[in-house]
Amino acid sequence: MNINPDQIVFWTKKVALFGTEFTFNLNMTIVGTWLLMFLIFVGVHFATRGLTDGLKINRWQNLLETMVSFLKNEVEGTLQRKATVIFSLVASLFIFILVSNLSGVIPLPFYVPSTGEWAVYIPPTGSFSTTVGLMLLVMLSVPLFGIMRNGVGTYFKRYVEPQWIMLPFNIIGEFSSGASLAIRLYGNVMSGTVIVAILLILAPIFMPVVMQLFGLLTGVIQAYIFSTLALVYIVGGLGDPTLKEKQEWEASQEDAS
Amino acid sequence: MGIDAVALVGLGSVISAGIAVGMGGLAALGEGKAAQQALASMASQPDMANEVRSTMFVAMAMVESTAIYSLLVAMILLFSNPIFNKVVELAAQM
Repeated sequence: MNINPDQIVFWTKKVALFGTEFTFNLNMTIVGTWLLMFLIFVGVHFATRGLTDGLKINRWQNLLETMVSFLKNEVEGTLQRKATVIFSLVASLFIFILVSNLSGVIPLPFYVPSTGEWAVYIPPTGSFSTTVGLMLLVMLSVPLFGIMRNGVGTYFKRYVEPQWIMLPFNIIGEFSSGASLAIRLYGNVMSGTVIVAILLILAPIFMPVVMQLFGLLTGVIQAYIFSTLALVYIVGGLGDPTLKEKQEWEASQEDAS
Repeated sequence: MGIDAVALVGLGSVISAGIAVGMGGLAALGEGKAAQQALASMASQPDMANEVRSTMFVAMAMVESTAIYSLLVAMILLFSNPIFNKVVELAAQM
C-alpha cells in the first residue's frame, strides 16, 4: 500500500547546482498539481468568455459568481474591512484544495515508465509535500501581512503578550498551529483514498462508493476549514481594523444591499 | 538479531496501531457532544438552523483532526513503518 504519492516517480534527472548534485523527481504530486492547474486555468478561461450582466447568464458564469461572492462574504465578514490581496490568497487556496479533493473520486490511471507499471491518480492534497507547502505559504504570509500593516515592533509585540513569560508558549503555539493545519488536510485526504483502497479488497461492490460519497463531503469541508483557518491566522497577525476601515467596509456593504 | 526481533517489532507495530485507532475513537465523544448541542439549538431556534449546521460541520472537522492524527500514526505503523524496514534490513545483513 502506497501512502505517499511522492514515491510514484515518472521521470528522474540529476542536476548539478552550486557544486552539489540534486535529484529532481517528477512524481505523482507534481504531475497531479500541474494537471489541476491546467484544468483550473482552462476551466476559468472558458467560463469567463462572454460574461454578461443581463438576467440570463451562462451557467459557468453563475458557478463562478456564486463561488466568488460566497468567498468574498466570508473573507470580509472575518476581516471586518474591505477585501484586499488577502481575499485573492484565501480564495486561491480554497479553489485549489476544493478541486484537488474532489478530483480524488476520478479513477485516473497513469503509466509509470521507470517501473513499467500503472499507478492510480492520487490527489495532490493527499501528499504531505503539497500540504506542507500550502501551510508554509499561509504561515509566511501571516508575518508578511502583519508587518506590512503594523510595522515590525507592533507585530512581534504579540508574542510577548500578555506577559513576556508567555514567549516560548506563543512560539510553540505558532509551530503547532502550522503543523496541525498541514497534517489535518493530508490525513483527511490520504485516509480517504487508503480506506477506499482497503474496502476494494474487502467489499468491492458497494462500500467504496459510499466512502467516496463521504469523501466528497469531507473534501469540501476540509477545503473550507483550511481557508478559514488560514484567514483566521492572517487576521490574528493583522490585528483589529481601524475605525476608518470598518466604516468604509460598512458603507460598501450598504451600497451592495 | 534474527526472525524473533522482526516478529517482535511487527507485533508491537500492529498492537500499537490498534491502540492508536482505539484512542482516536475517543474523539467521537467530543463529536457526539457537538452534534447534541447543535441539534438542541436547532430544535429551539429553527431560524438559525443553517448557520448552526455550517458551524457544527467546521467544529466537528476540527475535533476530528485528533482522530485523524491517530489514524495517520496507525497507517504509518502498518504500511510504511520506518523502524520495521530498518529491522528487516539489519536482519538481512545477519
